[in-house]
Amino acid sequence: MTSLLDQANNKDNREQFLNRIAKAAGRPRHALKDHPFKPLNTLPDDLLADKSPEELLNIAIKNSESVNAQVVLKPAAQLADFLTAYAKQENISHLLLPNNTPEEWEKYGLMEWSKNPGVENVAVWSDKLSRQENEENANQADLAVGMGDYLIAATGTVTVINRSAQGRGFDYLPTRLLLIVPKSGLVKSTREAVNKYNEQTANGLSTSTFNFISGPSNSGDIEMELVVGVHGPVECTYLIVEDR
Amino acid sequence: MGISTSDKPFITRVKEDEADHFMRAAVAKAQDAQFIKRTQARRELGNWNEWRDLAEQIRQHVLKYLPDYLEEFADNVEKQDGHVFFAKDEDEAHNFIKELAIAKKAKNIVKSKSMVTTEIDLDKTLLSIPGANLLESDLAEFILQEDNWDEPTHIVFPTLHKNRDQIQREFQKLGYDGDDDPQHEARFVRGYLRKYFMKADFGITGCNFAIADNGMINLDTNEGNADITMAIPKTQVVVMGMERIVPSMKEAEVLDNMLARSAVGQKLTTYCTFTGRKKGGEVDGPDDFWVVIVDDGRSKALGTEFEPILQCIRCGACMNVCPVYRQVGGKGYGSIYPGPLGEVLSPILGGYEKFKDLPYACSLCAACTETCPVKIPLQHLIREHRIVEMDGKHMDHSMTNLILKMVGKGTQSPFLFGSAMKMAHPASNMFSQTEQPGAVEGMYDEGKIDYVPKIVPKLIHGWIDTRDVPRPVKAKENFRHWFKDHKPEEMAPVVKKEGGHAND
Repeated sequence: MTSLLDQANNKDNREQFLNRIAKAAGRPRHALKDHPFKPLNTLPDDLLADKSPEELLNIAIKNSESVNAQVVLKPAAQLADFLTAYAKQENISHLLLPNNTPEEWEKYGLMEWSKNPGVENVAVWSDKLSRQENEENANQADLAVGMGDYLIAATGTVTVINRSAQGRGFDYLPTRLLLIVPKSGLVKSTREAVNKYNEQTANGLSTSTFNFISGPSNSGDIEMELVVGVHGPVECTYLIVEDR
Repeated sequence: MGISTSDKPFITRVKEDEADHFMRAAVAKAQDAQFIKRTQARRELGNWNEWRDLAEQIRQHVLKYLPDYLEEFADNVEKQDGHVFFAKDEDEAHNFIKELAIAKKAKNIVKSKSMVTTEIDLDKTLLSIPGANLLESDLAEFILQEDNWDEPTHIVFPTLHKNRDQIQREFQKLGYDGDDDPQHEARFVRGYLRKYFMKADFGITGCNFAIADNGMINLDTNEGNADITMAIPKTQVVVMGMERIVPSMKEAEVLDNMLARSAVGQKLTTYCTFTGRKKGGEVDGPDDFWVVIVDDGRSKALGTEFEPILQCIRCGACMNVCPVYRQVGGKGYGSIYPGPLGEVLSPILGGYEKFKDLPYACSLCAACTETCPVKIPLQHLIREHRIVEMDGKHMDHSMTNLILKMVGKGTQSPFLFGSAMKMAHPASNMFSQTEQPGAVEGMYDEGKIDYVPKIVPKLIHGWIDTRDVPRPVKAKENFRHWFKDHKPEEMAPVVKKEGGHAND
């Protein structure tokens, strides 16, 4: 008996399946190249297109708070003090940081803070550690302070990608997640964020994951009562850097 | 479990649900709450009907060129060293994943919520592997698993039929000693499952949309369990219905927005993730990435009048507006796909013999069609199933069918029709009561039929048991005779209305 596993990525398996469904549909294969998708309207691109940057920021803050994200606006010069105070206020004992380059930290004036954030246990997500060590560090963390790319006004969302310095477990396993996002990363809509990621990919960005995160994890599975904090972080903060 | 959740007859299931007062109240409360949230979320977006046009166009376009898009997607997964298996049916799909789990020596399998994995009966198959553990990680699915794999009630809220006290009792078996506060119950599950997650070696997720032009999958969730399922295990299997594909991330984000607003009244789900196999330099995510693309009967709808059901994005809005679902609840349908979606999809995937009753669990009110974000003409498809069952497959072998045939013959013949009219009064004597205390004068002058013996066909019971039916009058006193016997009288004088004109 042959193994079904041998049929994965097997041309016969694929061709038989696709020919069968093409026959069932009564439509020929390989007609798409002459009929690419052309959207009948431009609604996704037009969403919030008439808003000024100030209006977009206000919409972003309102929508972020509606998904139970905490929104904080600070200039870069005040980030280190804010983060130190925040960690103290929340009694953070295990902090997780990304393995940013000095330039990435310095962009936000956080190089010194990242070396001495004033928390008892500090771990860094890094490809120098094993997968298991990174995941254990993330699981132990009361707080992860990571980097976000875009703040989406229409949905109150911050986007992040998977990279060696900040992996998937970094965003999902800690109890609290704080994402630093520059105000210049403010975009109107999920469409605009997707367009920007497509541009970056065309210019060489290589990542396995684009995460669109809108607040802390939640569920309405028990009597449809909203419970904030299920498997992912129980608190989520967007730290918007006003002058970056 | 497979697509069928019960072997009981449809009427028995409905009767059982009728008696479940908590479930019925919960469904009504959910429908009302979702109405407010859904409507608000759609209004905030604006131009909702034009968004629906766009979503419909995306889904119809993809179905039209489905083999081409699947080919493009498979090519892109393979280019990234992923693996794609095309499964024509349930058996192929679950046997493939079982073989893979055995080959990978999977010990701790973790799943995130996925309708198609329930459809292919994956849990049962994986639990047959000696030494393998399996946990559903979605809160609702976990509750159902702990309650001996109870049946789901809804595709978005599978535990709608359970109250917090029942859930508390289930969790107490796992060591929970807290109260019945959902917040505390959920936090208990967070801790319980986190320990399991940390040692999970084989992850299984569904797929909201596969992205043809980059080989990624797109998942929309709120709890974070799906993302952890895609982060920690070294092997990830994605199971997707073959129709769940879009050209690019641009079309996916349109549908993500519409799905969240339609399903739960959110602008976007908390986690909207586009992901694939771990790339060079990344620390976590799957080293091994497998996609199982499942037909399992979907191709029976392709190229037919039922093709639009494959546009479905599984938001559940149709069941959230359905008046029948409101009364019957999810279990009554006997399918993992309840409500209007299930009435159309279940007979296609599971066959007419198994699900022949479902197209009749519908008042054809069209509320489902009106709310559907991808404009599936649900009530037309439900009616189309009835036509297939009656005219195509001749599935009605009941007494009703025989009676209606006899009525057809009788009404075609003036002699038979006249004889029936003459016999109606004397024949109904034994089932009629002439004494009608409290009845409106003139309503039941000849009495009322309010009883027929059990042996009488259900078509007649259907009328008599729930309605007050006046006994037919004597043939000589019926309307035809009355009309013939009465000459037109002189028109009554027009009385001028107060403040109006005589001819108003």
